[in-house]
Amino acid sequence: MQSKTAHFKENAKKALGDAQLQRVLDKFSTGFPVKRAQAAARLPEFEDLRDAARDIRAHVLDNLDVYLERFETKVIETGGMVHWARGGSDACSIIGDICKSVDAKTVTKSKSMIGEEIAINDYLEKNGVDPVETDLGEYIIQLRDEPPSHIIVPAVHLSKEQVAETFREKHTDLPADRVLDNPRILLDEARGKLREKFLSADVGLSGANMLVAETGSIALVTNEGNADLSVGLPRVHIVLASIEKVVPCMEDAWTLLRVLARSATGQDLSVYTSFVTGPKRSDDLDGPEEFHVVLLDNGRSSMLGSEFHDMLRCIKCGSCINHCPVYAKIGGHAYGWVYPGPMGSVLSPALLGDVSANDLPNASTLCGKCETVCPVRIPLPEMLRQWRNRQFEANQMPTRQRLGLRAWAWLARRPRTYRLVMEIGTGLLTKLAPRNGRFKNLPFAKGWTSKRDLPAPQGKTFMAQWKQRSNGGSS
Amino acid sequence: MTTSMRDEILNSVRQSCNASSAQAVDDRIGLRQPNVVPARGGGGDKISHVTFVEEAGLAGADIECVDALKGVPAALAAYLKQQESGGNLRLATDPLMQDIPWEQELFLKPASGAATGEDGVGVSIALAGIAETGSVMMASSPERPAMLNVLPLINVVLLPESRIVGNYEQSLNLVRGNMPRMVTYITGPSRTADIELELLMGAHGPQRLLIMLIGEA
Ligand code: SF4
Repeated sequence: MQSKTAHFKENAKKALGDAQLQRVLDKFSTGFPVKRAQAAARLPEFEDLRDAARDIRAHVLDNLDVYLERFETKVIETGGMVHWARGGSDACSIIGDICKSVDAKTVTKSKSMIGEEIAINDYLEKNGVDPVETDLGEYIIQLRDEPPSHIIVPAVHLSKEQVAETFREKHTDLPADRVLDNPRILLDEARGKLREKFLSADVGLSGANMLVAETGSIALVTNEGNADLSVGLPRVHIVLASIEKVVPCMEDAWTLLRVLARSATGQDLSVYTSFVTGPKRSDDLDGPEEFHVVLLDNGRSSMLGSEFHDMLRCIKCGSCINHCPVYAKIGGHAYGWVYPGPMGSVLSPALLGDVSANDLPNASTLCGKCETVCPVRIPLPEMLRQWRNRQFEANQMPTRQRLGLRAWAWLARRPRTYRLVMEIGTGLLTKLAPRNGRFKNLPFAKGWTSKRDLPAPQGKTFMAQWKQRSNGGSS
Repeated sequence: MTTSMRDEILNSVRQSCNASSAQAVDDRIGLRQPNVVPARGGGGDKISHVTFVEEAGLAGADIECVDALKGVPAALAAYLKQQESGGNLRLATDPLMQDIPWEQELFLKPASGAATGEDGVGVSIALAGIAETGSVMMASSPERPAMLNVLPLINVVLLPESRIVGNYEQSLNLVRGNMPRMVTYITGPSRTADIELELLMGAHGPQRLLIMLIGEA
């Protein structure tokens, strides 16, 4: 997927003015957090499970080279093949070659953010293969030629009217005047369309929620059942997974699964949790004849050992996104690439590897909500701060911002001077304050006052009041 | 080309995993130790059974209890009529299935083999039921084709009561050492909330999941 992260500011502004988007975002940002809280409250062990989940992921990252080798050995032992891809284009050509080797016309896909990352659909189309997204949300946005706006509910930005419009435009073999006025009818139409695809596809392409080193299995989690159908019916199953997804054994997989759905949608467990191990066995009546796993690095190995190492613990549950007040206002498209919200603001600059995503880590109040809900306890705010730090060190910000920060840093490190400046400033503003106690206009603070008033200080600074109180005085 | 890419990636990973230890990894994989296991599914057999039924219900599954295998046809026929479904069945050929007197219900028309896109009702047998979340554990084999669980509109799963366990970990020894190609834990019927977050059943997979709990089998 083409990155548009460099246009973050314009896109965020556009999103804020989009009434339809604001309506669906409101619905979204009230629903998910409540469901997660209920699921967590129903399971007394939830916090302990989060600790265990974090420890499993951390242990794997510390020993990732060995885990990858063990996983590879098991896949081969169970009749599968393993391919290694350094970057996105490597992965694309590996997948393209497999498709070519079986003369594939149609590929059914179950939702994979890695697939978005490497823009596999574009590649396949260019090579005469028809990729069909089968997750309902992904199917809708594929028809609309849009990127996903959320990692688990990719079409969350759309209204049912927009979906109806799209179906009417694209499903031209159906009567043009049919009724499409509710989600059930829309779903049934998509179900019918996709059924044909499932049954006729040559290759099934999936991501993987986990790679189990003990057994060489891949874990696939969906609510729709589309992953099982996508990979169970065609002749070839290709798994596209990033290298950090390994877990040691089945018990560890289950610990992670216990926190995954609860964090994502508030379900105790997703409807279909499948472990797929190798190709069809000799007497099986169904299943693919070939099983390929493509392991993609795409920048991850250089995150290991860096200040963003812990980001690789991520299990892509989307919880940090569901709870982010910034995402709730601007939606996913504003972030400009595959991964939105807090996890995206940490991941995108690392994976894109250039300055184009520099705005993302700055678009946060560092309220810290994301860290409190992350099932593997990734210190997301700290990492956002690390990115800002890097940008400062590498001189990658506008001069004014840089000078401002430098001045601030100088001041903040000198408590006495800081206090003095504050006292003078507070005193001055108190004197100048309009009668109603609010500034409508202030030099150097247009960015604030153009949108809202600035409340005038109410007397002395906190430190001055504190001192007075501890001296026994009253204020 | 891929071999060298493999080494490149592994070397690059190795550089940052300088303290990685093959011994630690093999110990860990070999340990197969449960981590934190919720109390919810645990307790004696009785508790697991009650929890299973409760949780499966919460997940949106339908439950029918029959005393023995011979009670399956009548209960299933009644359920399907109530759902206004036809009686054509696609059966797994699991040995347990042979003991069911299908001919007792003329409404039911069983056929076996791999599932097709036209099948309305698929009937399979669970390896285990997991009380913790009311999930059924399905394992593929020549007798139990995997697509039977996802292609038909109604997914019927037979579960002998004795196969209910408390938690996922307790189900692992059933497949350990010889992983079936596809092991699926199913928790309720297929669903989606992708259009305006409205929850709808029967996204691509079955619209209904019927778990038939069998007292003696
Ligand atoms: S960072 Fe944490 S909360 Fe966000 S998607 Fe990853 S695992 Fe989930």
